[in-house]
Amino acid sequence: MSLLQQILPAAIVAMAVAAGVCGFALFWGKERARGAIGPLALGIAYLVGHLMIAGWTSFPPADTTNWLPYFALAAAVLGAFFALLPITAWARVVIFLLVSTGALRLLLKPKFQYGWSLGEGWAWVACLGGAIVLLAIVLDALARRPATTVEMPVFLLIVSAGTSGALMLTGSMLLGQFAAALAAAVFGCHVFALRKVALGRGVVPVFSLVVSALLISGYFFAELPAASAVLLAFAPMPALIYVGRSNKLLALGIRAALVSVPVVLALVLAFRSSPALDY
Amino acid sequence: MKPSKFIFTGMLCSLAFALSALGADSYKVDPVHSSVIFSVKHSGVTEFYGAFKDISGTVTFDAADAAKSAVELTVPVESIDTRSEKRDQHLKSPDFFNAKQFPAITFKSSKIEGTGDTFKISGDLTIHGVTKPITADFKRGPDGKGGQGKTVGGGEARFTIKRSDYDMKFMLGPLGDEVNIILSLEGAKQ
Repeated sequence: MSLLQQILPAAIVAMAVAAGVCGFALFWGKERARGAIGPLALGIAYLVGHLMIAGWTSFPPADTTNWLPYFALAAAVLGAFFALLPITAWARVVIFLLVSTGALRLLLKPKFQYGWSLGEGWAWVACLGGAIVLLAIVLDALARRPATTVEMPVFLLIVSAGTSGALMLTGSMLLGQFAAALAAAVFGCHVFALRKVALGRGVVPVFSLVVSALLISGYFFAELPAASAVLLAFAPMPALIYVGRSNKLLALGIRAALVSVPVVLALVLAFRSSPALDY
Repeated sequence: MKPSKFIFTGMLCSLAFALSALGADSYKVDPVHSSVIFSVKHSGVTEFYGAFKDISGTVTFDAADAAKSAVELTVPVESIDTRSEKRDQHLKSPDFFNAKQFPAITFKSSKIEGTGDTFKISGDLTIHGVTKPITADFKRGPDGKGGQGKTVGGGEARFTIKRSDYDMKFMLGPLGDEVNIILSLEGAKQ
């Protein structure tokens, strides 16, 4: 009950902020400018939700998981620029890789301090940075498809809700709550997606970076199994499978089910390694 | 400077250093006979108690001039013990101490004042990566003889901190903000 009392206000406010910012898009004439609204809505809503859960912390944050709202904001600005400026695909990949690398270096600072040699640390950062970019490429490919107005938020919602569940099951309620704030922000954007305002490709950097940072924090600083983290990170991939175009609703259902399979598997693995906090 | 003056000044400095070292006793904290106990209010009902099983550090004590004394302590978060393995695991998680990010709690004194057996120790307490200045009353016990014939000394400090000051804000309300700490130190004179 107290957990709900802690998470509900943050989730509701994140949802309202996302919906409110997305609402601007309804009155925005230019298509390209509208694309910048999605990432800003998601980024700002996550930032607000995170701060409501964790409270205001010192800057730079001592606990590196409190870098996440800043990552969300940086990725939101990046996503807005991607939507507004004609940047080539390769340039986007390189810029996002650089931002992700910087974010990972900040997030994994304690591992550099206590666990890894410099070479080992940068090898981890390079691999994880590559994985984040791969997730972004998958989401970008999904966002470019014609039927994405509703599809993208559904996939993002499944993945973020699954991430929240897996993190809570493996012993970190706080990280789970952050993921729930992300899910609430996605849901807030979803409200207007139903009114034909697509989240757009701009949200890809925000979602990829924040959800990856949560999974990485869960693996390195809590007890999230590596298999769960990998399954959740790449859960949107099966949605790329061609399922036909005859019935859009059926296709959405099939793709959502395909995304749900790795998410459910990740939850089962997380449950099996759950420390059970029923003390 | 003439060589004779240089040698004389050097001798004086050495003598002063030796005398100051003679005045201060250094104690190495004995983790077996020292305790770090904490309590926090649970569900607003009653105080719940836990402890850290390990502590290390040094205490330099100058009976003639307390200002020359110093305390440095390190408590590994992994050593937390609340008589429930599940709860210990949760306390070590990112919800509370985040032991993988912040493996140790540390204290370094900055100012010690007082005479006899009662002292006020001020210093920087670092928990969860956040450093805050604190001041605690320390009551020193008499020196005694340890098991191996070594002189042992120590004392006890009781103080209260707010966990929210250290960015540990999970479940504030059901779990109190104020944490009472009892620090009982014993160490062998070096």
